[in-house]
Amino acid sequence: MRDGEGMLEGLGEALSRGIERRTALRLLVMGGTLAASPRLLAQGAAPKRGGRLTIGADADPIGLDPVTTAAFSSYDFTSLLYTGLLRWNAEMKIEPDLAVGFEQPNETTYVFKLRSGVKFHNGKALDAEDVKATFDRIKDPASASPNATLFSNIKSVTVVDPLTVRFELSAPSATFLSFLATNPIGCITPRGVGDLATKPVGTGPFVFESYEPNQQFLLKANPNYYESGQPYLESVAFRFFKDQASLTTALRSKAIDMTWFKDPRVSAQIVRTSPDLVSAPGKTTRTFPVWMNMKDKPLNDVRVRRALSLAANRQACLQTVLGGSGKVAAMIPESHVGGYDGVGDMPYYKTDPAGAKALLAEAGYPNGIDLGEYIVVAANPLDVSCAQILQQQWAEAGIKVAIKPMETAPLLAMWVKGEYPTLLSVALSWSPDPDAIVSRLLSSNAYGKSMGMNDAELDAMIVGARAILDPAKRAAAYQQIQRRICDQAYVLDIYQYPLRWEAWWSYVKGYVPLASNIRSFVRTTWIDK
Amino acid sequence: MNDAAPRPGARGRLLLTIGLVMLAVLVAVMVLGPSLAPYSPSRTTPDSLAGPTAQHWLGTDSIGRDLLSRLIVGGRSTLLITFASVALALCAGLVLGLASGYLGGRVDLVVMRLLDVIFAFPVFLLAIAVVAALGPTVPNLILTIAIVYTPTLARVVRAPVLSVKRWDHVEAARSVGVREFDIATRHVLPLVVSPIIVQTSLTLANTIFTVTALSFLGLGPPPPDPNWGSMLAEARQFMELAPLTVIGPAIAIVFASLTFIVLANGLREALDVGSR
Repeated sequence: MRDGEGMLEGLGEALSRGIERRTALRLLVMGGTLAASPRLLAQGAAPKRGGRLTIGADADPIGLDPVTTAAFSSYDFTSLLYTGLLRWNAEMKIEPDLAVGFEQPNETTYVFKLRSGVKFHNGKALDAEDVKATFDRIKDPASASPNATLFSNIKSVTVVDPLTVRFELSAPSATFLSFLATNPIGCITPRGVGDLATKPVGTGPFVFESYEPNQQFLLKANPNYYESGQPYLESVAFRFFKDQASLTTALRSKAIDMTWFKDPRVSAQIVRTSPDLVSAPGKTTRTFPVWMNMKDKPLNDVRVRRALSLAANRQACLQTVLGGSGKVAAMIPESHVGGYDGVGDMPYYKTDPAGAKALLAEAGYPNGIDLGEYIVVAANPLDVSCAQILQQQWAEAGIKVAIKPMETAPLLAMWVKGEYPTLLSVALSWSPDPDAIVSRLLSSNAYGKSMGMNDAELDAMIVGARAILDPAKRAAAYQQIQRRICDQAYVLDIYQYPLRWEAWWSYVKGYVPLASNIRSFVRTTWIDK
Repeated sequence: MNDAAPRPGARGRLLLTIGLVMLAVLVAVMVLGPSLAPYSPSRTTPDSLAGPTAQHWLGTDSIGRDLLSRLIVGGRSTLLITFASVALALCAGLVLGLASGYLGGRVDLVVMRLLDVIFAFPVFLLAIAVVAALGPTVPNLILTIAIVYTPTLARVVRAPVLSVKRWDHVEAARSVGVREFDIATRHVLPLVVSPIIVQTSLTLANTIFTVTALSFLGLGPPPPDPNWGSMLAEARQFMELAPLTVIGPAIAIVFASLTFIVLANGLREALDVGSR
């Protein structure tokens, strides 16, 4: 696993030294397979054409229009149906996709040149008008697009000529390109086509064929896809399974070729018992935080919050719940600019129940404190497990909580409105940019308000980091922001881990899992059976 | 009454003995629970999903808690909820069934139609709806299951009451001016006790399943309190990694319900309910 990671990093450097992208990608794919199964060393890697890839999915899509969908479960499908101006490569670096490149005449202007000859699935050619129409639709309040706030800094989108489009921003933004590269946020949709949510039309490597809810979602190869030779597969079928146990069985029996798991121990076990299964090491993209209602006593007192942080043993949580498949977390996962590496020193991270008790006594609770209900997502066993361990660790420092598992929808409503009594946990999944994560703590943000955030200094740090375009300086700024959050214990981040652990049979070649858990690389996948 | 002498057969006695022994085991676990458990059931260790060892006889669960301790303490919780809810259902069933059967007329009509409404719902649908509406706490769970099983018990009480209340000794009691309440409780009720006891035992067997199923669905006592149902739910995805985490609670559930089924059969033969 470690060797595989080393190889990936090495290739990343090769990429940045300017090796042609496709070659590098192929190398990367081979590297991944080699690391996982040395026996395949002798095999050549010329992709075979045809065949069907069957993927076991754990949730149905909720809408297939990239402008309006907000559900992670839709991304599996939008990532094959649609493409955007930019995309993430296997190293989670941004590269051109529908654009052949862009110029930046000044800090707030981006001019994109489009690929010529790209066709939508309905046969219509893509041009700059479609790009403009997509962003008009995102901005239109009538479409209630969740992407509207992400692109709120776009002042104007202008069609220069049929293959050139200019974006004017209201201020320099380090996040703009990240959002453009993210599927489905930056996907381009055809203008004048209605009802994309159920009849998707995109420029992606696969074309929508049919969908039966709870059963099967079928896609077939797009013969007009613009990457030469791709996709290699003739068709892709997603089959839906309601629980992890039936997914496991389906993968074992080869009823599906590929799937992903929510628990690292399940995935590790399956791969261990079947050597022909390949599992991806998975990058940490998801954090498990404890959110606090700081609007009122007792959590408006920083000493109580620091006591909670001191009493928690993050490493023990990580070991017990994930068997060590992850890292200790701060606000930003490691896969991001300025993400926390899980080992660096952070204020109030060293487990110290006695210190926690002293802080509580200082805050006026010499006999301990009862924080009442600690609300967690009932549907996520990892969350419920971690909460039980925290409950015990806190009890050692005299902090009492009662765990209350809740249905996801009412829990989210409670979280957004800040209507939970004291503590609430809901994991944060991958987001395209660290700003999207830390912005939740702005005193002007809806989430920040619901928590009772009121830290002018932190506000200034977060807003300032948005405009830093130099990656190294930006990383340093996010490190500072995270230290501030830990020092004030605004959020207790426990561990970071991959959102899903992907696994596939070794006859599936050319697939690369992405940190964002979006299966873009089905476009380079082929079957060798 | 029946012509043949009520003679409990050898089979009935055997079933009854086995049932009572099994019940004794369950009651012992329920009463002595926490003092029998080698560890605190919510004490976690990083050694998760470990197989049986000298320290942990049945191994550990997904977050390193001692499985045996959780099984014992979880059994206490499961059985307490079961007994409490059936006791409640029995009280309600006795009152409603006796009133309905003995008083007859309009009371009978109203009570039985109300119970029919409850009876018409599938058991689980009703239970899930009530628990979801009231919130998943132990008292609510007990109340819910009591509501679900009241109609069954009330009907079993009512049916024999309808015939017993026409017997001569009842008429005799009434003719000498005994109060209706006393006739119902002292002259009718004792004669309908046998089928009630058998039905109660069968209801206990069903209730074990209902309690654990609701708890399996997350409607039982909140974590970290163990319960056979929630233990199964937690362990399900690790079935292949650590089979004991599933087998343990599964066997416990089967044992408990089997206890009441054996007991019910033993009682049926001993009390000669079937031939009445």
